[in-house]
Amino acid sequence: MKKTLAYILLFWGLSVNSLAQMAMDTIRLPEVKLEHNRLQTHSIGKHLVILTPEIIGESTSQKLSDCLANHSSVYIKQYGALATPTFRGTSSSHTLVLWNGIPLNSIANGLLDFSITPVQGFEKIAIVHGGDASVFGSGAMGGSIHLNSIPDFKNQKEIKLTSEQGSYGLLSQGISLKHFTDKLAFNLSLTSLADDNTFEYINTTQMGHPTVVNNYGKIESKSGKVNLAYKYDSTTKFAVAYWSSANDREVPQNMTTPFSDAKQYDKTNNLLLSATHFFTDGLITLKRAFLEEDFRYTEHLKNIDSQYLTNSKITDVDVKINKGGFLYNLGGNFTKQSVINNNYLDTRQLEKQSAIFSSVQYNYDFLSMNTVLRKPWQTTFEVPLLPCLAFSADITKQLSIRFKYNRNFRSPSFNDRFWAGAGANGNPDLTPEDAWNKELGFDVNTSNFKFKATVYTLNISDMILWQQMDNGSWMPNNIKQVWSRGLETCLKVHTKNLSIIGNYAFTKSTNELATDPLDETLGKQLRYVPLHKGNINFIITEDNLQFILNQSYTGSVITSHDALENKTLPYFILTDIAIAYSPDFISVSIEGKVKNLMDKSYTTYQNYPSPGRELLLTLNYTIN
Amino acid sequence: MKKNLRKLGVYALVIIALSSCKKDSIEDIYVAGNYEDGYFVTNEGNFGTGNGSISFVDESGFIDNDVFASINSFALGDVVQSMSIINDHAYILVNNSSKIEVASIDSMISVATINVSQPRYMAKVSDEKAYVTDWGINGVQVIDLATNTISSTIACGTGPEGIKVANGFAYVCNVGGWGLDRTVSVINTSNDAVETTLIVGDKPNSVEIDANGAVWVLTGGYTEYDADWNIVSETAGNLVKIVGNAIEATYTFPIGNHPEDLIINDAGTTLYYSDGSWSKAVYAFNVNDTELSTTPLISRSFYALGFNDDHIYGTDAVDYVQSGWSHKYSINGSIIDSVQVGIIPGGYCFN
Repeated sequence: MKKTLAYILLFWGLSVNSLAQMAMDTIRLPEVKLEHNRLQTHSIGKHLVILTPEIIGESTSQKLSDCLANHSSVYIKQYGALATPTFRGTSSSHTLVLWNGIPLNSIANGLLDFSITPVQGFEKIAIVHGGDASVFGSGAMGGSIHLNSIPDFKNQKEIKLTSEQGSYGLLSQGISLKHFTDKLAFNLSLTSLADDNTFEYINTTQMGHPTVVNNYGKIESKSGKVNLAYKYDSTTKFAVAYWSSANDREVPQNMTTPFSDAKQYDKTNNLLLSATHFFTDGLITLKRAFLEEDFRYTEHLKNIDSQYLTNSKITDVDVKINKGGFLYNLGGNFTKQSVINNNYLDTRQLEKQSAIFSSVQYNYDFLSMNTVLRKPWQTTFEVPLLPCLAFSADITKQLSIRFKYNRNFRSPSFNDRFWAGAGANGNPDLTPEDAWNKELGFDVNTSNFKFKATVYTLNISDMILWQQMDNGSWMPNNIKQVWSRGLETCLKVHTKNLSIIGNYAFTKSTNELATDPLDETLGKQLRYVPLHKGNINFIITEDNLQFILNQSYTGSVITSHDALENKTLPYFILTDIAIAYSPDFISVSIEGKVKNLMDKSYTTYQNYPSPGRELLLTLNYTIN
Repeated sequence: MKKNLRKLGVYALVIIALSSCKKDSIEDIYVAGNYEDGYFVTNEGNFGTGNGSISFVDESGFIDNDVFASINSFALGDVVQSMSIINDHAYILVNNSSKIEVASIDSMISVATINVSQPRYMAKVSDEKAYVTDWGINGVQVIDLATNTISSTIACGTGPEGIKVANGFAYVCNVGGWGLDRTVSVINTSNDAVETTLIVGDKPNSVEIDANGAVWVLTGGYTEYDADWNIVSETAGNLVKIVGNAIEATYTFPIGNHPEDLIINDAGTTLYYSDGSWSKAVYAFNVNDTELSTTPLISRSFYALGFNDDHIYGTDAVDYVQSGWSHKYSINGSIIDSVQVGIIPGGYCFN
């Protein structure tokens, strides 16, 4: 503890000294506002993308998996009842999803299922490419997604009723309420969804390649969100956020297995209480969150009934002080986690972890600098010190460059450490995965034209890999090493009626350590990481009509390595179109969408078919 | 040499033809009777992905991976567990796709598909009948070989695994499936009834018949752990000799070892198996031996073992994701050849 304090003070000291001269010349008010949340405060040097309402669209059934697959350079694997992202060639547990700054990834397996995460009903969704564990903690190794639901005191009073229908048997209804006074801002949204998922596909694994209708894959989900912000007085604000969801799904097997009786039940309950108090030159935010995840997977024919219940209690403190051109941010986090899993030998596991981070930011004229140092503690394993150094400089009014160098980590999940199943055992001695990230980018920002480009290199070591031991049972070890490098670009062009948004990423992610003398994968691209992924989106707005066309390209991915010829999934191009009409004379708006217009047959995971052309109709009735 | 060169030429042509026209119609790729001089390796594929396959390795070492799918234009399925050649037909047991694919052994063209539950291994009983062990029904599926349909089922213990037929009886090892069992079911093949059940030791996995008609069963033993990975209970593996449907001798392995993959040489005089606790090796056991060997024949861990024509074969699944390997050894344990096959090679089938 003493050593860590010394590090923190040293870092502060260094930053102050090196810029003291500059500070003498001109004193300039920092651009970063105090009220900004942790993401905004630490946005210097980051490749950050905000999902705008045009991208999100009107459909309440739109999930994060579809949104990212079609509107970003992130590859999404969808199979059975699970959709997971691949940011910068990293794996599914290397993307951290945060809800109002609170991590949502399952503490049992480290993942979040993107196919049940909605994109509607949030104030803002931000996507960060690149790891950020020094600020946000374990799991933010390849990227992070920020869902913010606490309402701003904006001019918004409305009641909205939504009804949606899809050609594969989708029926969804939702109601959302927004209200504000000068002291209170409030929003509520309830949605209910049922989807039969009866899409047609060509079964290329059966004799004659028959066209089959998917008859197992029903989804039923309900979700409710309540968010409240209350201005107690001019210096104090309180907020409450509650999000509850229940998803019941039939889980289909791969195309070669004709019958499935697998079902999955996911229930989550999340509650957040927060208080913010402003004082001269600073503010303090206190957060207390209660997260619960209730998961059940059954496959009665194979005698499988896997259940877990996780509980997290999080306390978070954040202090920001603004003095003399410097912004000081000190944060502390204390988490109590418990998992009850019928697949662990000792079915109940309880752990505590805490972390403190300190940051010094300096803004001078055209230059901004951010330094962060984080030290987490965990009851069982050692977590290293996580530094971060970020710069951003405005070369001209339109052009700015940014640089970030930081260390990220991911704690081994409870499943990795405690699983005890038929032939698979967790390893209680696992240590965290470690990653060093360096990235350099530039942003061009004019009134009609925005362009972002980032190059990065990410070195992951001690990555956890499940291997079969000689005695036949599977066990995880910190043995894998991966090197990811690539380029990410983003383009936005706005004219009077037309918007063009484009994304492209080149990702080279290779295995750097042979885990076996016959390992073919050394130096080769990892499985399920495409070299190229991108999309282009055209939005034409004319009076009350909006026309949207989106084309996304996903490059081919390797599914299995071989000395002669790797097995791959082919590349595919998907086209989506939508027309939205919101007339002046009635407060009803209508959106018609055609997903996969060209009825393309494609797959993102070997032998799991994807739907063809789907028609969606959304009706919104708004009362102001 | 000339013959080999010509063969080489023919196979090279065939391989080039096969690789250049993968999506062509069946007629273009048909080459009659080219699966005689060589052996098959069954590749499980990744569980839940449906990419199981069979590979054919010919005498000259040329490998044809994905034999079934390239000829029939449809995939074998999920977890190709084993393959048996009966009455000039190849019976390929696809465990997680719940089926048995039947193909002509000359051309590998599919002739039938039998729907089962979770098939493991198959054994021929007569020209008209065969047994298939099936975890899904905890019993044996009786297959009518004339029509390639199921005629009846026979209940056995939990997780029936290895099966061999001799002396009018079928010997089924009940390995316990996802649980635990310690019995061998002895089925009278004339009336399809379980004649007796022998207790041989925890988790019997494989069985072989020797030249004298004695039945040898290998059991793996079972280890139970507590929450801190301390051993709560442990039972040893056994090599059990059964004569006249009764246990004649039992050879016990050191506790903590989990022997598996019992195979026998063509003459029926020497047994081979993989044994070890944390690292495995292959050992030999002559049927007249009175104690287990402590000197390994091949100091290497294999996923599956096979024996044919005075050679021992062993597979290596590498990381269980990329393509695996098949290694060929002489009977004194020296390596002869290695070929790359499919994903998770789990068994051999010799013609």
